[in-house]
Amino acid sequence: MNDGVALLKAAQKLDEEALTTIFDQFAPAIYKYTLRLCHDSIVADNIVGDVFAQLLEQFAAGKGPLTNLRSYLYQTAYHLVVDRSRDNQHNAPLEVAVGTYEKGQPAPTQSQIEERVMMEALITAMNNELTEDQRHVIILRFLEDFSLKETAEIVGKEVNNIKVIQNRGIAKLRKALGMELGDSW
Amino acid sequence: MEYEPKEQVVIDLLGKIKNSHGEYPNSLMIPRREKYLKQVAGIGLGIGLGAGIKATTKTPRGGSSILHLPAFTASSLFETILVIAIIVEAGIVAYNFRDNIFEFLVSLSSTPRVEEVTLTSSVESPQPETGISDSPTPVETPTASSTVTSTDTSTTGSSTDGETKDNNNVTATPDPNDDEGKHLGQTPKPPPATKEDKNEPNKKP
Repeated sequence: MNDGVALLKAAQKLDEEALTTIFDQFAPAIYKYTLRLCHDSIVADNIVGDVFAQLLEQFAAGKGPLTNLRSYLYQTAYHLVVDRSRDNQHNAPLEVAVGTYEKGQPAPTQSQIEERVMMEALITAMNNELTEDQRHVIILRFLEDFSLKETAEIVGKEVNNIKVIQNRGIAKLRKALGMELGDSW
Repeated sequence: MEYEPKEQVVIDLLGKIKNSHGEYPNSLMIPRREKYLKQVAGIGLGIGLGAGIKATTKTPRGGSSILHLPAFTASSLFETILVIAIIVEAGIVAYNFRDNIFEFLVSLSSTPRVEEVTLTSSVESPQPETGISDSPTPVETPTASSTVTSTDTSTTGSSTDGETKDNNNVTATPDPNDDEGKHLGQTPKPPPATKEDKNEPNKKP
């Protein structure tokens, strides 16, 4: 925690090493998060560049995050994704984020196959059943491990509202998986 | 926060998705990192930061951003040269027409004079001044008393000189006892009559 605060203070002073460390530490996570939202690796890469360019601009202007740098970067990335999605309605399936089995890998076991089927069913449900808010909150809470408060800051809603969105999203996913995999599940 | 068993399975699945593929490919991350380091170096130099960041922020869709640092520097250089040229030209024009400018400034600074007029307490008569006083009688009254024994006008004038200054030396009203310039009593008397005249008073020529 103290390292994070020291890193942020050094970055506010435009310390080159601190700024580089911030990129190395957060760029892969921001890319992954953005890819889950926009489903396009090129767009995700451009958004990563924009996020860190805005961060530099804020630091140069004496502004920027004061405490939670990670939450700030995700919030910036989310706003950029929303701006782009208004211009370009591009909805690729979330399988891009999950990946596929490549040639040369050993054959999957039965449990691995079942698990993959369930994951694909879950991803399909996330793409088809959830609203945009529900999907975003689920991603932030369970894929990016943000707390309720941090998620509320990124999304721009109250904590209680985030709780409601999250519970409704999980209920929808459970219902969708039950219908997909049968009542025995 | 606790969940139901089936909801917990959903959450566990979500955790597995979290650890799945989707890493930042090196083919994308390395060029992106190099551009970022250039921007950081640009901040250190303090040149073209705003333009560079704006160019990066407005990334073309599906393409990479480009720093427009040379364009920014050239435009700022031209702008500086133009401003200097305008200032020099204005200075030359001001030097050539310095006299006109000075006169113009003097004419602006000189304010018209305003004379102050104070109204007196309306004692003055609205009528135009004439050479005749309205009431010369009180002025000449003491003169009459002084001229009982003397008909010399010079005396009269001298005695009333101080009092009749404002009346423009108007001559006094003639005294009723005065001879009005007829010199009465100054006529030489005829010689006394002789005896011959006494004896023949009724003598007709």
